[in-house]
Amino acid sequence: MARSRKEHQEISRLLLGYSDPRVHSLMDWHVRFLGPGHRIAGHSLQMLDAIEMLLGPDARREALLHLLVDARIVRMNESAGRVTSRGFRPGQPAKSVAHTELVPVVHVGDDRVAREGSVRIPRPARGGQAASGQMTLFVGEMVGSWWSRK
Amino acid sequence: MEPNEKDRAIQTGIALDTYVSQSLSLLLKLNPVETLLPMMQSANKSETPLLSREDARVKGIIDSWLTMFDEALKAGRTAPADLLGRAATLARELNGPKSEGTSGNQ
Repeated sequence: MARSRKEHQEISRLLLGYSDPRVHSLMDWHVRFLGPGHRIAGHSLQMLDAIEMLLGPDARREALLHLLVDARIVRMNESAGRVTSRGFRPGQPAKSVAHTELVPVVHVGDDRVAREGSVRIPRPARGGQAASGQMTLFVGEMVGSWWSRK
Repeated sequence: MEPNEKDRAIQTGIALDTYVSQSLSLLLKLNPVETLLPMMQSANKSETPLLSREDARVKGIIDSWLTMFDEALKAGRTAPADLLGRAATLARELNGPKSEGTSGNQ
C-alpha cells in the first residue's frame, strides 16, 4: 500500500520517537520524475549511507524504517484497525487482540515432552510471526527425560 | 572457467543463498513491530495507547531489532544478492497472500 510522507513521519514518531521530514523527502525525491516506480531509485543501502553522512545516525535509522515500510516488512495493521486503550479493536471482540500473539509454554513436567520427546507448537492466530510448524524442543526433551528419571 | 572453479562457485552461491535467506527470515520472524505498532496507536486522540516509546522495554526491543536489520544489511553489502528485495519477498511469503502490493504514488 502506498504511504504518504505524513504516514512515514507518523510511523517514525511512534517507533523511533523522532521524525525528520528531510529524510523522507530525500528518500522519495525521485517520485517527481518516476511516479509510482520511484522506488527503483533512492531505496538502497547507498542512500542510507548518504543520509547518515548528511543528517547523522538517527536519520539513517529513520531512513531504514522508511525502507522497511515501503517493502512492507513493517506494516501498519490496516485490516485489523487500531487497538484502543481498553485493549480491543473497534468492531471486533476483545479476544481478537487477546489471542493474537500467545505462544504456548511447555512447563517442566509436561507429560507430552516425556511421552513424545517433542511438542508440536500450533501456528499463532495471525500466522508467521512466531514459531511455525513443528519445533523440536531440545531443552524440553532434556527436562522431560530428567523428569521421567526422577 | 575450469570445472572445479565452476563447481566451487556454484557451491558458494548455494551456501550464500541459504545463509542470506535464513538470516533474513529469522529477522522477519523476530519482527516485533507487527505486534507493538497496533498497541502504540490509539484509535482516538483522546485515548491513551497501550504502549508508548517511553517504555524502556519497547524502546529497547525496537532499537535492537532495527540495529540487527541494519547490521545484516551492512554485512551483506558485498554479497551478490539484493538483500532488501529478498527480505521483501520473504516478508510477503510470511504475511500470506492477503498483503497488498506496493503500487502507488509514494
